[in-house]
Amino acid sequence: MSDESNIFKTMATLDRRIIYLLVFILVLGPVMNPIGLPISTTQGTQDWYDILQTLDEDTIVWSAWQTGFAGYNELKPGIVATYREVIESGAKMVIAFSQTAEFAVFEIVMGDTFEGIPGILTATMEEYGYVYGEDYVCLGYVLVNEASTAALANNLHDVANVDYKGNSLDDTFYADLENAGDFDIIIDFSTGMQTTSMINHWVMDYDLPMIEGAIGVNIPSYTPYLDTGHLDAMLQSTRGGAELEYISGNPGSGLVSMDAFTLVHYMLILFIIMGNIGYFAWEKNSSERARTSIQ
Amino acid sequence: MVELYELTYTVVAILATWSMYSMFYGKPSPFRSWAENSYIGFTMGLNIVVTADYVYRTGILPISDGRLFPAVGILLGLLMVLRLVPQYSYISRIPIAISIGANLGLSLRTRIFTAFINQISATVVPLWVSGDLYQSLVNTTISVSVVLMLTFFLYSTEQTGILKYSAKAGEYALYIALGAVFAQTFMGRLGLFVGYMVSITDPVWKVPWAFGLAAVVLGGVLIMDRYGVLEKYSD
Repeated sequence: MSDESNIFKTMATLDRRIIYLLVFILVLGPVMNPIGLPISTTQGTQDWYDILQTLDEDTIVWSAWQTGFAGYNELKPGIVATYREVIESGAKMVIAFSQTAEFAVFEIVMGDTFEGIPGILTATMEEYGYVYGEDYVCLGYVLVNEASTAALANNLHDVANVDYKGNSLDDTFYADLENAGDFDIIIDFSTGMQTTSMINHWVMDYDLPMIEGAIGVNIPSYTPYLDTGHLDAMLQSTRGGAELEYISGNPGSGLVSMDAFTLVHYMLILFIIMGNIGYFAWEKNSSERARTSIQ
Repeated sequence: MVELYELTYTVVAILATWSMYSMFYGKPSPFRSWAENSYIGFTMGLNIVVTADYVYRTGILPISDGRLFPAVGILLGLLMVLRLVPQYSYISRIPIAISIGANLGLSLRTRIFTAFINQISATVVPLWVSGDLYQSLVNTTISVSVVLMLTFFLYSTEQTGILKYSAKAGEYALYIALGAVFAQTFMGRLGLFVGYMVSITDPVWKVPWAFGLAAVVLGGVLIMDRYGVLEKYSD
């Protein structure tokens, strides 16, 4: 077989733009026309759901939004499914951001009651009578660093006395809260901003239960906190969100995404095998050693 | 009926996305340069506005209510700006030193437990859990891997004899862990991509915009490449 027509050389030097194109096709195809491939649920997601089922009208949730747009699209299914459960439970919620872009993420999910802009969960809030000021308040960008996170744990009112729009919180349930000890649970969706700070200063000092919605990159680094008991449950990336949608009976963007995940993962495995065959059968003993195919 | 507000930000977002993805073509493109520089500009503007608002809400408002302690923080923050004045830049070391010292003390107070002592405690687990083979396997894997990996990091001892083999086994355990991290990372990044593709195709009125703007960007890149001006107008 001549070098030009060597199939192993093709495997080793495949134009990476073909891979990009295939990823686009395998993602956009099933996203627009879902196939409905089966998925299983994991114990971690079941634990998360069980904890959400314990919330009631007497529960006060510290809700940390730390995704920005870098993590929002990955965690969106989990965020929407989780806060739908919180709203349905009637639990009160104090919301805090750690990223400047979080204002827009919050508006997309919860809407803007002041401007009358609807969010993904606006219909659910209207259905269950979940009202801003009575049931939830938003402090805005207050989880700036470890110092501000620790200061909030010690005394909320030293850091935040007005909401994200600058309105007074004196006539809301927030006025009766003093420190982290007045909360019943922390729900955190994060790309890793102040999560360890909250573990250090909210969970350690006030023995609060905490559940963590983690992006894929952070799953290995947060898993040890499950073993130590600092975290009570972890929702893992888009997959966890899709499982939660399935368990809670509210299918959404997470379950739609799973077909694309499955197909692209199969494709990746195939290309890893192809690349290795190409390497051992051609490139390892070739004088060309071509590593890129973009000419 | 789609509101103009939603249509505007959707169209701009989709155009910026495809412009960034034009890097997959393999050459610099003005579309990507536009999207990249716009992103940097918008992010910087947003950060300045939101941070200034944070200082106002947590610093200025309390002072106007008669609580003077935040003034100390604001003063230290202003001293930090003196870094820009060479003659007095040494003064900026004071707030930097206070910031480093305070954060170190704050962090170490609890991190010694959460990141060290409690992690070691969590590793000391029973190797055999009666009636639960899976948990026994998990516990044994964690305990054995920790010991093997620690021997790999014994730098001041010559690794001979049994230590040599345990260090090698630890090295392979490390590779397996890295593989798991890489797979999680890939899954996460794919989740980000898939999630965004769902966002720009749902609801269905976005689909023509998604494909139309993709055609505009791809066509623009191909035409500019054809006439050799692709790199000329990129930075």
